[in-house]
Amino acid sequence: MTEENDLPLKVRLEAIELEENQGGDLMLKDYVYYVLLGVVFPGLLLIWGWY
Amino acid sequence: MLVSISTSVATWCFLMGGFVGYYLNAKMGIAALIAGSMIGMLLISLAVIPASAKYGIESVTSTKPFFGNRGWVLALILQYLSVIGWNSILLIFFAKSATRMLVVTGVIDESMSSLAISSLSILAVFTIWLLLKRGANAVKNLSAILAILIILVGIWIFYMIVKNFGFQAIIEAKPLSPSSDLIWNYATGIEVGIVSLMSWWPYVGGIIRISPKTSQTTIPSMLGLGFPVALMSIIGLLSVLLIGDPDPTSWMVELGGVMYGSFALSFIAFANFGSAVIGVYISCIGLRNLETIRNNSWNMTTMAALIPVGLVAVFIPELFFSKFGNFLAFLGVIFAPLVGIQIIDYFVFRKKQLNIKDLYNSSSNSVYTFWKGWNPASIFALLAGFITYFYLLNPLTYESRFPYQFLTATFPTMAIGAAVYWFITRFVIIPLGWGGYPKVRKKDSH
Repeated sequence: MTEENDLPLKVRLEAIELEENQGGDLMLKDYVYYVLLGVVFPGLLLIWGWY
Repeated sequence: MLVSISTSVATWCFLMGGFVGYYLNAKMGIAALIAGSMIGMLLISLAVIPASAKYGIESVTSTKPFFGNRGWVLALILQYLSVIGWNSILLIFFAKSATRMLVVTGVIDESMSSLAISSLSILAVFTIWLLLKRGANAVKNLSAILAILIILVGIWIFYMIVKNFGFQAIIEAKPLSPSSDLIWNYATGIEVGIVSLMSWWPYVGGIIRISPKTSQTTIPSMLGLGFPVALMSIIGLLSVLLIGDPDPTSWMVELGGVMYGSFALSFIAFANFGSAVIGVYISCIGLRNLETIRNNSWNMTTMAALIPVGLVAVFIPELFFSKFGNFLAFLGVIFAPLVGIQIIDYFVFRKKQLNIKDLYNSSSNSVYTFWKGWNPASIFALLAGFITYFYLLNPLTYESRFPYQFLTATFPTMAIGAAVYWFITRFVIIPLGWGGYPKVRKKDSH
């Protein structure tokens, strides 16, 4: 295990409570990627496969 | 990305693709497998990644806001069982591939195969235990090497298939035992892709949580976990269509000769080993949610994750293999409603905000206590999901009911689970003040 993980849980929780230590939310571009790769691309493939 | 690729590419891809080869030809099978995998990955990503990457939590911890600060043990059990199942399959295949390589290269005699398989399984368990002594760093370093190797050899296996059979034979190959309803066959191909990716639920949180930014995880999850599985499963699909066997280890030596065959067998062995290392690591960090386990050493945790896998791989490999289809169905039944619940809870009710301290607070003053630590909404939603799935597609016999052929079983299961969860949470849980949800603003009355 790494040194970072050896810190007490309380200290780690206090650190992750600070917004700057968090990973943030998904951004608009992420949702665009998800729609393209998870909806549009499969949809086109399924049409191609059927015809 | 490398960790994702190394995790995702393993023998399970061949099993997925091989299953689809019974119902669909190459073109429709490729379309269904890739589309199903990408859709499944999208659903898993939306369920797990936003919370896991934002707060650095793995999949089991991410269920506390909707299962409760005691109910999360359900997620742990599901994760433990599913990861044990997958890892057992991987280790069995690893040992079989490595043994076959030793046989074809003349290192051991065929009569020693059984002994070699058992010995290699034990050796693999011990090696994984040693590697994981270093925790996440071992996973990262190993994955980087394996991922590159896996990509190169995967391309080479495709080349061997095309070279030996040609495009025309691939295009003309017929599925082994299709139903008379082409729409049903297509829906089943898509369902296999989606359900298989649903079983990534335990893995995604464990991998994604170490990512510094949530938005850095989008492409690696979709193109690192979802897409490679789909591509590699095409090997299984083509194998069934052209040879009638989904596992390329059974025919690569005959087609490619001893040298090329050994190369392919090494690929299978390494790919499975890499995935198993990461799978056991994921299982370990899930187990660390239990105080009893957390208070013991990391080495003890890895042993707790590895011992059941080793026992299955050594003592009941054939029995476990014969029940593989049921195991896969079990995963779909379980994870589909769970994913629906998680998406609704995080995006609709939690507004993308979790109380990080209370995720690790098991006392009754945690906002995630609900009713004695359990959230009735998620229990009822899970049950509604199970019933829906069983109604649409019997996972033991694959008998289906309308509208399975148009919607698959996973989509309606997820939707019903999510709808039941939304309804109970909105009209029962929130009015009772359970779960620490933001207050619902009542409309002003005039």
